[in-house]
Amino acid sequence: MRAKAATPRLRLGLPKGSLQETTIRLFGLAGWRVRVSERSYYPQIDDAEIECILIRAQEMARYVEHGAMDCGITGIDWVLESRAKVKELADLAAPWPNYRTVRWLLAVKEGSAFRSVKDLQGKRIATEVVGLTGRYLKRHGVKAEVEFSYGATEVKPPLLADAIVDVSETGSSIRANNLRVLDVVQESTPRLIANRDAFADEWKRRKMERLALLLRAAIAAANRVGLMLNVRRDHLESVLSILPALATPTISALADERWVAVNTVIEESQVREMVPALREAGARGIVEYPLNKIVE
Amino acid sequence: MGPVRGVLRAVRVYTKLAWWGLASPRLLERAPLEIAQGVIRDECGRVLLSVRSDLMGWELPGGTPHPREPLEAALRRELREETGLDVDVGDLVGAYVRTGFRPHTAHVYRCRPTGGVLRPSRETPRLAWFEPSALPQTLFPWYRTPIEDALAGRSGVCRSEHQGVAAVLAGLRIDLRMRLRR
Repeated sequence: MRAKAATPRLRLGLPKGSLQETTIRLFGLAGWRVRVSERSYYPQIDDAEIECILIRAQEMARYVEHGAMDCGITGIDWVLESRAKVKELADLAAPWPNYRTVRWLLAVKEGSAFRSVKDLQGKRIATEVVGLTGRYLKRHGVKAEVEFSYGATEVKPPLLADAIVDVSETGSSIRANNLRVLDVVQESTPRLIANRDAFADEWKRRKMERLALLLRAAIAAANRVGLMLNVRRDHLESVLSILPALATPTISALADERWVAVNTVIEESQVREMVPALREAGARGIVEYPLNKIVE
Repeated sequence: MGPVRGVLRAVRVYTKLAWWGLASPRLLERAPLEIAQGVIRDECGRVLLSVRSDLMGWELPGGTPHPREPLEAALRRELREETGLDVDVGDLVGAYVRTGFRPHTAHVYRCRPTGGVLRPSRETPRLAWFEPSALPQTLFPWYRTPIEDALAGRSGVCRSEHQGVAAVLAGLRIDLRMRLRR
């Protein structure tokens, strides 16, 4: 793994588990083809300057901190949990499964007497994030027994634990197990993190920054489309007023001076409402096209 | 926005503008008003314009300095607030001395975006990049000269114009046009 290569290489940790599939899809959109063969922990990537390793998200930050990998993708929750000193390069929150914001929730059994974290003095709390939970309790001045849970944490109250701190993207596992949420302990999104020494290395830093730029650009283009249309100058105002404020369009001249072209980016979900309204307002030659990347 | 609420809002805005443009400069303000505005161009040469939230119409983004704040610093701050962009403030295109309605001097600078992400604000609910040959009809007419000067590469020009009844009516016509198109 540490063999000297002729060309410099960036060692990149990809998260094994729930983040894996979306991560590989994200790399595809950003311009890197990653192939994982069954049982191999070294995925193939079509970039001679990158070497990939699959690692559990929980351990990523620690390995990146120690320099086993130059950079990697994991949730900020695991970075905080392991208290790893790493450099954050990009927030990769995206509207895809497992890449949305997740919340670590403090929850108790529905119908229990616990109303707030203060009621958990001296009680037992099961969680996968012992460090985060311990610090959260300390902030609230509560002393409780925090117990590591290997999983299936949501079924533990009330028999095996008084309360739990468990992760949820949609809240469905909380509802399914008849639990009541007392507080949000930590919010988290996937991040691209880097080893500090690797970041100080000129070549590696440039490579990682380019990677971060393209990953962010692919995320920015997710669920958005381009819209191009022509409109007569005296109808321009009504067309612009239909576009969402955040669209910040570009207006260009056309050969026919009475007309201008409007180019903009909108959310895909707005297309259905907007395109007919734009036509009614005087827009003609409306073209909707897919986007691959948006570099701000 | 319903039509009645729209009219009420317009009446409120016009009352405020009449006070702001006609009475307050004569009654309350001692020093002549100085403002800073930027002609921001992207790499394709397009000009960034914003829509004001009170008197609606397209204009150059910018604003009024805080007490004792240098014009260029004020411009950087206002552009950051109104457009989300960080800019390099370049040379002064010119000073535009306007008398009549809301007398003021507008210092217009050439600006180059260096970072940030374009996003509208409460004061400037809409932003758009316009090719110089596709400036909107709803651009307030007194901005045409500064933009022309900037595009022609002029620096340090000094112009004065009187904002009389014609300018006020042109402004109102543009505002009404923007409101009625909704």
